[in-house]
Amino acid sequence: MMGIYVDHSSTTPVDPRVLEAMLPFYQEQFFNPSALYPEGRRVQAALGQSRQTIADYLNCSPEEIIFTSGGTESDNLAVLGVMERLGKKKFITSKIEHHAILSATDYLEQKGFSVVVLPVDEYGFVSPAELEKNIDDDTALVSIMWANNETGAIQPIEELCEIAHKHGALFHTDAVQAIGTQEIDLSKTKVDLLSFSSHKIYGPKGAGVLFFRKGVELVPRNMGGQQEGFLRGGTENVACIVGMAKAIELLKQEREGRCAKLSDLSDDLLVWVEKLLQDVKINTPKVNRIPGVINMSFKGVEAEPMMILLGAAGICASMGAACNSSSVEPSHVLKAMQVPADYIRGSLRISFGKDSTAEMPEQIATELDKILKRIRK
Amino acid sequence: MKKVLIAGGLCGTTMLMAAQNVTEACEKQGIDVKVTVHNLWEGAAITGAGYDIVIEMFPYFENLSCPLLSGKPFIGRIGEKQLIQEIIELLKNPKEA
Repeated sequence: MMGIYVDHSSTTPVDPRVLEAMLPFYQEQFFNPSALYPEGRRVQAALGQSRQTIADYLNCSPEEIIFTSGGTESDNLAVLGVMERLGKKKFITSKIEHHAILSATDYLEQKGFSVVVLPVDEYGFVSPAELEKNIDDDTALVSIMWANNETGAIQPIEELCEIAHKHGALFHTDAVQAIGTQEIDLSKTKVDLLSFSSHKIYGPKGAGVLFFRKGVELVPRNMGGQQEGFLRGGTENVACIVGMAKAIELLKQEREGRCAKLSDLSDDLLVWVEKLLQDVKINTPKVNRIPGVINMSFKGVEAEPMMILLGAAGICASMGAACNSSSVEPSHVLKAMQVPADYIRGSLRISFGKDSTAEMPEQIATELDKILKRIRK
Repeated sequence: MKKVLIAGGLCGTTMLMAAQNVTEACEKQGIDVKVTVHNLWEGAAITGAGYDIVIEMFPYFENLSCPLLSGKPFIGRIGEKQLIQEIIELLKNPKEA
């Protein structure tokens, strides 16, 4: 394992216990779960058990679970699958969504749907009043992420969902960043659709879930197979699905302990940042945030040299910016939060994980101090 | 042959255009030059040694023996002509860092 890995919002290492659960399905249990002979039925049973494990955790029924390749596919299926099924024409989302949602939004607009992209306040929160102002009876779906991947801000999901339902609209939430730390009970939280992916909770890449509440109708995006109730054709990625279920099982046992540790780590980092660093703005809100994620911006500094020098020092973090071949654009999330121009280009996200150590906050802040002094020189 | 290094990050296209502009300007002045573009993400171990001039797109290098210039004018295009002129002067009249 390399030096200090603090980019868990981007992806997490596969837990050894998850890998152990996956291996048989790469080896002796390689059979197609759609096959009718006994070996195939046993693999189908493993899929069924995985579905049940995840349904139990979410407190929903197994029939309300679709296995996908990850969060992006789940988001696309939720948004496009609903919008192309219902007769209504309006879709509402927010400026800080993941690009899976924002690209689907652009697609809907091109197809003639009317879309509204809600603003956020300086801390990255969507205002229920803003949703109330923009929703109407022609609104088919509202999609607001549960927690933001760049700042960790947790949205008022239940309130937003209530407003959507009041106007007869469905509500989807991208819970990719929330699932690892937030309690998700779909008998209490009345969202109609919810996405998450395995590789953010110490499971493998290549597996995700779309929860769709009974009665919600979807137009499939992957056609050509009877899998997942004809809603997602394609031979199932059995090993990764089994691994995802194991990751959920471990999350169920360890979530609270992980949250306590992540909270301490991010709080410690803020203490060290305040002690050592100057001209820094903390973009992550003080309250209503997922533990373990801190997004900060440094005045008059470009993120890129910071990242390269951090990488050279063995620290893996994220600069939370979109890169194209000619320049580095500031993050759309921080732009939506109107982070000041002289700070926004120097933004950095630190996202701890369950195996991060207590020394890391000090180590990171100390290295940042050296790097900032060098760059600002 | 003079050797110039342009080092930066993800602004690949910007660096390639800068390299072309520097090469053309030097040719007009009869300066035989080889301009190398390097993406520091691909390997930050580059030390900048062995070049007549190093141009960094953001602050990165330290303690170079050759002149070190900021490549920021290539990004914003403001002051680009003056920077190219400075490069030509330095290549004609070498100076230590």
